[in-house]
Amino acid sequence: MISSRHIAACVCLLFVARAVKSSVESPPSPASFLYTVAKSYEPLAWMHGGERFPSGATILVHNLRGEHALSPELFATADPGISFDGEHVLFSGKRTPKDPWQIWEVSVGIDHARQVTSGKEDCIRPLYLPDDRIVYARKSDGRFRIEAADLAGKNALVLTYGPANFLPSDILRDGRILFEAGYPLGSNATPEIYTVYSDGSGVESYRCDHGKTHHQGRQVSSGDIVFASTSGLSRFTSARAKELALPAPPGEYAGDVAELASGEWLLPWRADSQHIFQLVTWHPGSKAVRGMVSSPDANATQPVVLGPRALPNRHPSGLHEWPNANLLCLNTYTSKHSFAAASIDSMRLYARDSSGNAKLLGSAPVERDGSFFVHVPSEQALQIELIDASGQTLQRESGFFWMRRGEQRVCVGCHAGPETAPENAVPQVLLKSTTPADLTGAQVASGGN
Amino acid sequence: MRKGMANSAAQRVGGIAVVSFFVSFFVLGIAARPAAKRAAAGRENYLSPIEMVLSLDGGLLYVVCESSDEVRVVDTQSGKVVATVPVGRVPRGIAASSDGSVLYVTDSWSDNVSVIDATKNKVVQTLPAGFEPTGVVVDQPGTTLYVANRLSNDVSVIDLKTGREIKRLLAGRGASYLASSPDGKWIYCTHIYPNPAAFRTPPVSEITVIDVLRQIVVERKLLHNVAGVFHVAVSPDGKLGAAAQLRPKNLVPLAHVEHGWVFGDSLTLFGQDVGEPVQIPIDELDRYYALPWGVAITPDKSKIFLSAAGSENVTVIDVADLLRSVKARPRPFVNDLSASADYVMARIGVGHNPRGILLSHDGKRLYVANRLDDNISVIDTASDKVVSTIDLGGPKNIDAVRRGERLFFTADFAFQGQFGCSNCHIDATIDGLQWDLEPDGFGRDIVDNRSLENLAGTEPFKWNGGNPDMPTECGPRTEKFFFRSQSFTQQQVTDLVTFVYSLPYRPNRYRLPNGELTPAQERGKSIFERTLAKNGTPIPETNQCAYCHSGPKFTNQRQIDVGTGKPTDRSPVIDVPQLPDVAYSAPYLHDGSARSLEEIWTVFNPKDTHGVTNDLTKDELNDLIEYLKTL
Repeated sequence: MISSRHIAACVCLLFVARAVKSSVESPPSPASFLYTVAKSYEPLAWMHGGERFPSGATILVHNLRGEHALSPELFATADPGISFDGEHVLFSGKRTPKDPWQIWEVSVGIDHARQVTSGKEDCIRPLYLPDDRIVYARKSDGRFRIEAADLAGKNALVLTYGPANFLPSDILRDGRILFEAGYPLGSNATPEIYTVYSDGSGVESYRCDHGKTHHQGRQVSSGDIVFASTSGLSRFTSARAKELALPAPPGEYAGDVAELASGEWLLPWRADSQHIFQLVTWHPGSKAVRGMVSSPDANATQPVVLGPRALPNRHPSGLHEWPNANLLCLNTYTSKHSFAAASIDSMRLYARDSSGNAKLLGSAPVERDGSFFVHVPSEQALQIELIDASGQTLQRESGFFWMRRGEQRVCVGCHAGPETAPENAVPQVLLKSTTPADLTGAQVASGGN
Repeated sequence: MRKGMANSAAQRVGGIAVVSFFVSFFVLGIAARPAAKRAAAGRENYLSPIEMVLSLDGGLLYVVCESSDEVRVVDTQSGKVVATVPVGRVPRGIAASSDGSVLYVTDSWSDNVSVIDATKNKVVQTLPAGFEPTGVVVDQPGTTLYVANRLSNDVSVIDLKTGREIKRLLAGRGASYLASSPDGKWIYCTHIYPNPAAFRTPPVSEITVIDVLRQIVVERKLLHNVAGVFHVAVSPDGKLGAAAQLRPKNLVPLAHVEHGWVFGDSLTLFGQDVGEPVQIPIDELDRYYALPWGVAITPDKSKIFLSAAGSENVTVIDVADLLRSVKARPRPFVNDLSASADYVMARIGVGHNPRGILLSHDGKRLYVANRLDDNISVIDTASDKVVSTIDLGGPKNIDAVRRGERLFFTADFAFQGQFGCSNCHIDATIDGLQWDLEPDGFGRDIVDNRSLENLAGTEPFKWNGGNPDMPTECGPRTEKFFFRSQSFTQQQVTDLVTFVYSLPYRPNRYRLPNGELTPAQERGKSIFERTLAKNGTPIPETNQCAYCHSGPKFTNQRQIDVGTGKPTDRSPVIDVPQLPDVAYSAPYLHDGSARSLEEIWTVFNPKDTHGVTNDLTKDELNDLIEYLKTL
């Protein structure tokens, strides 16, 4: 039985690879890849729990023989993600217009897709993890949070905790999950790029070069993270702490870069917001994009190359069998903020109550070298505030962070940036006691202001 | 072998993995036998090129081969080996006289220097040196040889006319590499271990500066928070020196690896160009260039080349950009991982465990000794590309020991390639540091780094005896709490363990050649074996030295509370360490709190719980220590 959605997709196909703008060079030799076509595409709608494809979407398979829908039996499909051996595809799909998005998997060359997740709310943007698990965003209470699960969709583990939306965008070769969320973390403001380990520990901003929008990032073979930015197409390199704008031709980019064997990048591009996205190829450094796929009335987005690729490293979880977590800060004075010497007296830790209001969990002293060591509740949004001797706030974290059950984490400072390595010194707080101040709320915690 | 390839291979062999695992125990059994010769029966005799010099005309490259105890002579035009010169045991350094007619090769396990007539390619003389001679330079007149002695922590000054060592200059701990200033007035000495320091204080190493004319140490440039320092080079104008070094993060809990949490790879710059010595980072935010080892500065001072022994590459630094960055940035900036982008212009992939690097006289070629490939990468310094590889003629079969050795020395397996086994076990020894490992809690169970020599028969491992065997030690524990990234396959663990178990004892310098003990050592032996205190009181058997330190390796392989536990230790019960070559593995006790053997008893044994020693005089304690050094 052929659905109306399927017919629409087929009609759409007739225009594929034809209506390339005259200013765009002729298409290169074809590669096997998947992409999503959608009449309406709102790439950042997820930040407010919204629908990115309000008119539906279809994943198309592009290869030497032409193009066809990946799973024609489904009403809508999007978010293709290829397994590392190139043999399987994860995607978001819905059987009928009324269904929520769920995660599906199909083997390459086999039409029948297998539903992986289930539930009453959407599950979107699936990616394979290197240890026979998957990661995706599940909407819960109207917000997207990131979960990891096994290939059967079982044993789901929530990886993100905070009053905001989170969306995975890639698996880095070092094994971390690259994801998007608002900045400050926990808000739904400016889209920013973060990382988290596949056990939910170690959440942090990929770079602390905040301000511009950073979204739809993917890692390319050089190791750079390429993403859509306020300034166009940009990248984070291993060597630099700040965003580097790519000298790409003018236009609007939607990130989600796919790297072809030729070294060219396949990516969604449009001349401006009045146009729809088409897929173009661009050789980094060249002055023009070349049209690959376009349609007069549908966006072409989310390209992924169909084929094997490097297997990222598996993350060996070192979480302990503890209900809470420990946080050690080496030196609060190591910070992008400026604190006068000896000005920081203590730190306060806040969680959120059921109404979303800040709830003080307690405070702990900050040693003269800027170190503190606290025992904190796990798997909830936390916020740190630095206090002077008179009890005045010196700096309060603008966003939130979280720690997993049994996580032990050490920070160089307070917003020191990932470019800052620790100084090698025994933190004074550990010379006083190796037992952290208990700020779990289980007892009245004190020790500072 | 890169990890991805290894993983694929492991998956392919899947079913035989278990068989391999058991086979490994058979292999281990062989490897664990006492190693009279380094190349044990049935093992490949690899070369392990480590250092080089060029002939005066640049036509011949002399390559020190650490494992085969020889120097291979290569015609640089043809890239062929034209001669092989046998030298002493485990050669590690080489220098040429100013006219190129004589070569001096340090034989680190023979404690001497082989003098090679370069016209005949023949050893014509051996010169005495200290313990484990490593780096060597000859002064410009060709009358005096300077040799850095790694284990005796000094520099031998040898009169080449008489062939006699005329003095020893006190250097830092682990004196290993030497470089002469272009005018020949100064010699700079670096050290692979930090100097002895108070417990849980930042490590400090030094660059020892020797006045060649007066033959005295005139300066010690202290390198703060630096442990291993390797090669040092000086620019031809004498205004810029550079020493490759490790900055360990042993004092902070190792809860993760990212952001340079475990090691910083860096250079110390010194000299007129920079004023006070300044440390500069080599790493990036997401990539590390582990174990910076060989350093070379081009004749025009435009570039610095730096080999990364753990990362299989060479970093190229633009000197002009570097000096601009050093002047512009507020110091210190060695912990800023984004700084290297200002001055690093290229990273050039080379072979396994690149060590010594050498520029041709015209600066157009850089030779890189790939120690675990038995070859030399030749880099064109204009294009910064490898243009050829010189095969030194080593075995083509890569056996389990060699595979394990490559795994031991690579940083590929730690998160983002930050470090490998050999970062802490430098040259498969120790690092002289104590670490705060995360699983035990922050600030708890501080552990000293233990020696790896001849480990078979000393199980279990870890200071609490928690790991029953070496595969456990090197496998999941390493992956989860050290590397924090996908680590070795089962086959790789087997190879790694095979290599570790193949490590023999180094020669013991405290034993007499005839095997007898000196009178002091004899007296110390009596104390070690005594059953009665000096007042005639019987010493309980379990508190006699020889009770715990028994058997062929002087360990009963048990875990005992000898009263050395600290309040921050979860348990005072400590694994009994083996004692052979104990003289070389300071500091001591499980947490490294005793800086010397003497302190074990003078500071940390107030109640005679770690053997009865408080009735000993100072001389008697010295005797005991003299005996221990012979084990």
